[in-house]
Amino acid sequence: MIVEIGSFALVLALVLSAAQTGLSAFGVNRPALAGAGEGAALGAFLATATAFGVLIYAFVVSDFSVANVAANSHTAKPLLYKIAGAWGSHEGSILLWCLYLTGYGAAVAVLGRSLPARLRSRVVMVQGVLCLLFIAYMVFASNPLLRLANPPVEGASLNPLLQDPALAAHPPFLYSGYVGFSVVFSFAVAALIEGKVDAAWARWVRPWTLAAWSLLTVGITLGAFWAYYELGWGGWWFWDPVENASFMPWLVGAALLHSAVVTEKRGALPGWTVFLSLLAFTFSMLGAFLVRSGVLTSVHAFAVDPKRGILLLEILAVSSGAAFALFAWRAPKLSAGGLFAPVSRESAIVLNNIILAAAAATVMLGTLYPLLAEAMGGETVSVGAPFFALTFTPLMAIALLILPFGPLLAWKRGDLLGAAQRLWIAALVAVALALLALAVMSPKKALACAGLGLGFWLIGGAIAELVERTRAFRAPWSDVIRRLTGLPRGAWGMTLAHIGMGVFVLGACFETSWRSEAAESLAIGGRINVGAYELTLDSVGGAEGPNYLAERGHITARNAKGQVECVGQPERRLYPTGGQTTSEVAICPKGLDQLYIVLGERRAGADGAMDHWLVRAYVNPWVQLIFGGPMLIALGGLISLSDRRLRFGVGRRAGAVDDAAKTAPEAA
Amino acid sequence: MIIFWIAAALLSAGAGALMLQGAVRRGPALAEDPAVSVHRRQLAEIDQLAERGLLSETDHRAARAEAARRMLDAAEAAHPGHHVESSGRLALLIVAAAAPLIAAGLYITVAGAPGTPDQPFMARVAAWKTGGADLGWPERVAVATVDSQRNPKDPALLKQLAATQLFADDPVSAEATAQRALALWPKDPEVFTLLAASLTRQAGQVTPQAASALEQAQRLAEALPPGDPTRERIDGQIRAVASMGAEGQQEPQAQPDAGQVTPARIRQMVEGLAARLKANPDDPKGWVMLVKAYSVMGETASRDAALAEARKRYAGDKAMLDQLEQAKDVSR
Repeated sequence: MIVEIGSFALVLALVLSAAQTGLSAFGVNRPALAGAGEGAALGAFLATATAFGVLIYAFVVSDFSVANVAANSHTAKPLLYKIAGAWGSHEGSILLWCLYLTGYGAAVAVLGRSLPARLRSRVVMVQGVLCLLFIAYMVFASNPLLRLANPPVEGASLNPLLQDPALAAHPPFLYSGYVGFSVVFSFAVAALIEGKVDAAWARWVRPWTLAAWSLLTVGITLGAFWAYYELGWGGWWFWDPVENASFMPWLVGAALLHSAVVTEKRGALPGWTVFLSLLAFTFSMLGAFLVRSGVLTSVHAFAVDPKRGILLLEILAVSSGAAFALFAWRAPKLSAGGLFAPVSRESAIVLNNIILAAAAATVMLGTLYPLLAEAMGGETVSVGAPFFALTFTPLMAIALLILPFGPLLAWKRGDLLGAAQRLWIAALVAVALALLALAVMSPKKALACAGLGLGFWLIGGAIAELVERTRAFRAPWSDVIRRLTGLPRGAWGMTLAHIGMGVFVLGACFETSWRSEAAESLAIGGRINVGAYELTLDSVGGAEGPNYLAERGHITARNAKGQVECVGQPERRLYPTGGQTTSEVAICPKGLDQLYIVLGERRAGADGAMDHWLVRAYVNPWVQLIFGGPMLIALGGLISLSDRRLRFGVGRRAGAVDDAAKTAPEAA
Repeated sequence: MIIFWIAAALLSAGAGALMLQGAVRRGPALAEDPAVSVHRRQLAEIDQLAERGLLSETDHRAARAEAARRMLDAAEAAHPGHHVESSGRLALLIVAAAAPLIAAGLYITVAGAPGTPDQPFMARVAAWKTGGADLGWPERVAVATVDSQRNPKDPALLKQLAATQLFADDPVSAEATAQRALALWPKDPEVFTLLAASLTRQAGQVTPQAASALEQAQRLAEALPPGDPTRERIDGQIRAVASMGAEGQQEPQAQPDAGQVTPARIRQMVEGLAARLKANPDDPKGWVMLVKAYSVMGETASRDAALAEARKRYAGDKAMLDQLEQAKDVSR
C-alpha cells in the first residue's frame, strides 16, 4: 500500500504542476489565483517528496515488487547504498530531478515574496511548465514505482562502481546544481514576457545562480574525486562526455554569475545575461539527455533505451526552443543599460564571458562532434584529452591571465596601468616561482611551469585585490582592520573563489606534469619503486564485505632511508551478484601529495603458478589541491550567498530595506 | 485498499488546502514597488561602502548618482502589482476540486495498482518459512541467508546456507559461506567437502585449495568412531567432488559452464543413496541423509515418499523419528 501511495503522489504532483502552471498564468492579474498557484507549487513539491520517500522506503525494505528496486538493489547491500540506489538508476534519478524541480518552484513561491507580484507569478508559472514536462515524462515513460506482478527473490543489485560514499553524494549535489539553473531559466523567461530586465531583476536572479553554481561545483568535484579513487586509473578528469555534460553548464553558470553582476551594478548586458540564464539550464537538460539517451558509452551513463532519450530531447527542444524563440522576439526591445569604456570592469567581465562561452562551445563541440559524425556518416571519431588540451586549455589560460585585473578596474572607466601597478608584486612572485620550478623541477616542462606561474598569479592577484580594498601597507593598520572587517561576505566569497581557482590550477599542473607511476607483476615479497618510495607486497589475503568478496593486498611503502611511510591495503573486489570486479585503491596522503596503490589481477609467475599480482602505483604530487581548489570555489560561492543582500528573502519583511542598508555591498 | 484511498484522499485534501491557503494568504501588493526597494537598498549600500572607506569620494559620487537615477526610473515605471481583474474564486474552487479527481483517474488508468500490496523482503521470507512446500532454490537461499544473519555465530546454519547456495548454482557465495562456517567451527568435515565442492565448481577442476579441503575432510572423518555413518557420507562426498573435478578437467573448453554439471552430480549421489537403501534398507543414517537431501533439493514428493518408508521401518524408534522430522525441515 505504501508503494501505491507513492504512485498516487507522483500523479498528484503531475496534476498539481499543471494547476501551478494554469493558476499562475491566469493569476498574473488575479492575486487569489496567483496565491493558489504558489500553493499548488508547494503541494507539488510535497507530493514529489512523498513519492521520493516511498521510493527510498522501497529500497530500504528491499521491496522487489517495485521494478526499479528489483533492477538496482540487493538485500546484501549496505543501507547507505540501498538509499543511494534510489537515485542510482535512470528512473530514480529522474524522480530526484523532479524533486529538485518542484522544490525550487516551492522555494520561489515561499521565498520570493519580495518579488514584484507579476514577475513572481510568471516565474512560478514557467517553473510549473518545466515540472509538468518532466513529471509527465516520469509518470508516462520512466515511472520509478512501477510494480512487477512476479517479483524476483533477489534484486540485480546496483553497479558496484556506484557503491561508494562519494558517488552516493555526487548526484544529489550535481542535480541540485543542474536543476537550480531552472529557476534562473524561469526568471529569464518571465522577464522576457514582462519585457523588463534591469538591475533589480539581476539582483533577484543572482542568489539562485550562485546557489546552483556552487552546488554544481561540489557535485562535479565529488564526481571527479570518485573517478580518481574508485576507477583505479589514477586520473581525475577524462574529458568523458558525461563529465563534459556537467562541465558545460558550470562554465555557462560561471559566465552568468559575472554578467549578472554587471547587470545588477550597471544595468548593462541585460540581453546577454538573459541569454546565459536560458543557456545554463539548456545545457543542464542537454546533460540529462546525453546521460539517459543511450547515445553515450560511459561509466556514468544510464544508457537506457533511445525512445526515452528522444522524449527527453523533445522536452529539451520544446522548453529551450520556446525560450530562445521568445528571446529572439523580445531581446531587441530590452534596454541596453549603462555604457562603459573599453577599459573598465564591465569590459573585463565581458572578455571573461566571451572566453567562458567560447570554452563552453569548445567543450560542446568536442562532446557532440563524435556523436554527430557517427550519426551522419557512420564514421567513428574519438575526441579526447589532446583536443581539449589544444583548444580549451589555451582559452582558459587567457581567461585566468586577465582574471586578477577585473576586480581592480573601476566600473565604467578603468585604469589599466593603475591595476597593473597594483598587481606587479603578484606578477613578480608568479614569474619567479615559475622560473624556479623550471630550473629546479624540470627544464623540459616549460608549459607546466607556466601553469604553475598562472596558479600563483591567480592567488597573488586575489590577495593583491584584498590588499587594495583594505589599503594595507598604505593606511594605518587600524583603518586596514576596519576595512577588512567591514568587507561584505560577497567580497570574501569572490576572493576565496579566485584563490580556489589558483589552487586548482596549481594542483592540476603539478599533478599532470610530475606524476610518477610504475606497474609490475609482483609475487609476495616483491618490490617496486615509484617516485621516492619502494613498495613491498607483503601479503595478499581474502576479505569479505557485506556484498562482496575481496583479495586484499598488504603493501608497505618505504622511503629512501628504509623507513615505513605507510601501509596500504588495496583491494580487488568481486561482487558475486553481478559477477563484477572493482578495484579499491589504497591512498596514502603525504602532505599535498598522495601515494596511490592499485592491486590488479592475479597473474602467473615464471613457473606458471598463479602467485603474482599486478601492482600499479602512482605518486600524485599536489593532487589534494585539485579537489581542495574547487571546494574553496564552492565555499566562496556559499559565503557570498550568506551575504545578507543576496539571501533569497531579503526585503520580504517590513523594515528589511533599512536592515539591508546596514550591510555594505562588495565592490564587485 | 480502503486505507489506500483514505491516504490518497488525505494527500489530495492537503494539496487542495495548500492552494486555498495560498489564495487567502496572497495579500495586497507591497506598499512599494520591489524594484524601487532594490534600488533604494543599493543607494544605502553605496553610502555604507563609502563610510567604511571602501569607496573613494569620486566613485561614491558617481555610483550614487547612477543608482539614484535608476531608482527614479524604477519609481516612474513602478507597477502597482496585480491589476486585479477578478478574484477568480470560482475557477480556483473548480481547480481545487478537480485536481484530486483527475489525479485519481490518471492514477487508475496509467500508474496505479491500488490493490497490490507491498512486498518487503523480510515479510516474503517469513511467508516462505511458514509456507514451506515447493520452494525454489532462490527462496531457499533467501531463507537460509536470513536464518544465518539472525544467528551469525551458528556454524550449522552457515553449513546449511553453503549447501543451499551450492545447489542454487552460486559456488562463489557457497565458498565464502563455508569459509565463514570454518572460521567458527573448523572441525566439521562436511563443511570442508562443501568448500572443496564450491572451489571445484568454480575452477572446473580440483584446485590445490580444494584438494587441501578434501584432505582436511578426510582427516576429520577418519577421527570419527568406526562405523559412524558420517564417515561413509564424507567418503561419498569426497568421491563426488573428485569426480566433479575430473569431469571439469576433461572438457574445460567445451564446457565453460562445467560447474553447472554439479547439481546433476549431486543428484546422481542422492539417487545412488536411494538405490543403496533400496538394496540394503537397514541404514538409519542413510534414511536421514536421503530425507535431508530431498528436502534441500526441494523434491517434496520424493522426500515424503522416503520419509513415509523410513517412518514405517523405524516406527518404534522415537529418536530416529525425531531425526527424520528434523531432516524433513532442514530447508527451512
